[in-house]
Amino acid sequence: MNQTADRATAIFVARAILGTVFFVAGLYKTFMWGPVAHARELFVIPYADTFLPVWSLWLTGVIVPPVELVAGGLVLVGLWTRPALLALAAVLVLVTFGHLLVSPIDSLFRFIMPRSALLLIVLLSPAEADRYSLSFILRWKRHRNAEVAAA
Amino acid sequence: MSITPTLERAAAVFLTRTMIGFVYFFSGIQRLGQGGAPGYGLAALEIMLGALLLVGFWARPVLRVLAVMIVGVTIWYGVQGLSRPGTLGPTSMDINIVDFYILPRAVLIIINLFIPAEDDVLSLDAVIDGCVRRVFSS
Repeated sequence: MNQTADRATAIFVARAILGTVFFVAGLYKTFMWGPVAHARELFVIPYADTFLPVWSLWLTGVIVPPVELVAGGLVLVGLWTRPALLALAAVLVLVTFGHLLVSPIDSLFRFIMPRSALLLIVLLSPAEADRYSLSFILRWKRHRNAEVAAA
Repeated sequence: MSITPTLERAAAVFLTRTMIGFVYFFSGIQRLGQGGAPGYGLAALEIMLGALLLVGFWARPVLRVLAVMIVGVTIWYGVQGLSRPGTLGPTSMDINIVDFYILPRAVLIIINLFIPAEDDVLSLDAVIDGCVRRVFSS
């Protein structure tokens, strides 16, 4: 084993935990709670007295669960990881804004900061170092097929 | 003795390795009190892995085992949360487990794995490899 494997393992841990947390939340919000109920209870009602338009609350509240589900699942398996991370980063920015609008600043430290740290670890690591991912396996297979075809 | 970059990195990896070692070692000790065959088995595993990390023996393989374990624990708690919908809030995972059990351990494991193994000179692995002298002679 070498440093490449160690780094790949470190990225795998960050990616798998981040992906699981978002995927589980997305699964629950999309199929058990329901995006409409999620939007009503976490977005529309708590922010009813703010300057935010009601349509934007409904829109974001309904969109967030499937984004968490799809992007979390992709990050978990390591497929299209970069775009999925950017989608989750957008969710985290949105949630940061939402929390700070109606809650004290320390509400960030329990949910948002640890997840952001994991996201940054993966995002700032080189994509090619993420060896224990579906993208890497598919890339390796394509490379091998190309070699076989060329031979 | 002057503080060199090598010594600084050695201190950094020593700090994170011993911290995660203590976490697992004492987690195992405390788990001994819970009883039951699975409890004792897990306790023995945690004590052994924690002790190996503390002395820095087979540190990298142990870290890889712990990496797989912490991912497994996360998935386990995710499945547990989904089996009890509506009881754990919008994330459907116990936030105390995620924020105070999983994430601190994961971050220490990740930092340790990111630091090259050659920098872990204050360990038994380094003594066996005979490279401790490097840090003090550089």
